[in-house]
Amino acid sequence: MTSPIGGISLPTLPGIGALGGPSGVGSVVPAPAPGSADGFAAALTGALDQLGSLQSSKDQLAVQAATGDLRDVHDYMIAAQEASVATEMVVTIKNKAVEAFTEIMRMPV
Amino acid sequence: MFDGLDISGSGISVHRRWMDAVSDNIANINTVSSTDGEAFKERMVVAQAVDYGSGEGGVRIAGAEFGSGEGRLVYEPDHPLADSEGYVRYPDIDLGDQMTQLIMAQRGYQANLASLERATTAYQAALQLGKG
Amino acid sequence: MLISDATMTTLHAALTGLAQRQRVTADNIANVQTPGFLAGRTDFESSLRTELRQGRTPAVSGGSIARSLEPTREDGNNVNLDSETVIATETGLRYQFALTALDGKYGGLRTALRTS
Repeated sequence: MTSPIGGISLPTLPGIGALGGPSGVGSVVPAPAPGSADGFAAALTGALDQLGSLQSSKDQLAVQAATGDLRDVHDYMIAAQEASVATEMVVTIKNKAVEAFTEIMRMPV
Repeated sequence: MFDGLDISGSGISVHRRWMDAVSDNIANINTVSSTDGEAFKERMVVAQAVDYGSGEGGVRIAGAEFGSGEGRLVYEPDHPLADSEGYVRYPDIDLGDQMTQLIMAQRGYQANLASLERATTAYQAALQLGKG
Repeated sequence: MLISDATMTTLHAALTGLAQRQRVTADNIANVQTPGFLAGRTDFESSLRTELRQGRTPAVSGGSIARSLEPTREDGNNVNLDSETVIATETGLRYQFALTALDGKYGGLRTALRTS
């Protein structure tokens, strides 16, 4: 069964692209080409993967902090913030996907 | 995680012990002993860097050194501890030197205290990261 | 990485370098009376600048530590309390600044997410 949201274009999240920073793209989830079959699915999967690794880094640092092995407290604080923002990003992508899907479903056939 | 506190803390502790030794020396500057004993000996603390090889260890007291027990022989025939020739021993401690040390020890103590406060401020600021 | 761009990595590298400088400076101040003690100096800015100039993602490391070769006093100690105090104060302010800048980046990302 094909992905029910395949073929729907991922609407661009304008603010995110603008925050690419000096290193440009590649640092933020790039908007897939409109109409690409894997648009949302790929974006969401990629984002979830990266969120997973950010969460586990954060957890590792928390354990180091608990055992007194953490050199700099800001390392943990930065990891915590990255995981937090990444979580928001995943939720935003998911919400956009659901919005777009709902809109499509409302269209008269 | 908060190594800066330990480092400054060690500096505070060492300078405090230095001040204590100097205060003790000053308090005993006129302590009389009889000639068949030793005079009150000046106490000096020996500081040593705590070395993990990284320049982040702090400081410790490696031990204490003592000044001469000879002291100064002073002629005070009326003193209860005077020997048959009327001499007593006074400590060989120079007040001027002790006061200089006290001022330096206090300065070092204050500097390490300020260092501790700076470290605390920095750590607290880091803990606020992301809280807007 | 999903979240961090080169600016944020640079700020992280600066925080780590500044934290190490803070510790080494505290060590200098603690050892202001230790005979034979040579003040420690750290440098993370040089390698950071080089990496940025070459367009590489900066490595997050504390930088290098060296011993100061300034003239020593009679007891072999060369820690200058006034210099160390200035360095410590400056380091503290730069650390606060980097935290503020990083906070701003996270805030910006969050704002973009909520208004997109």
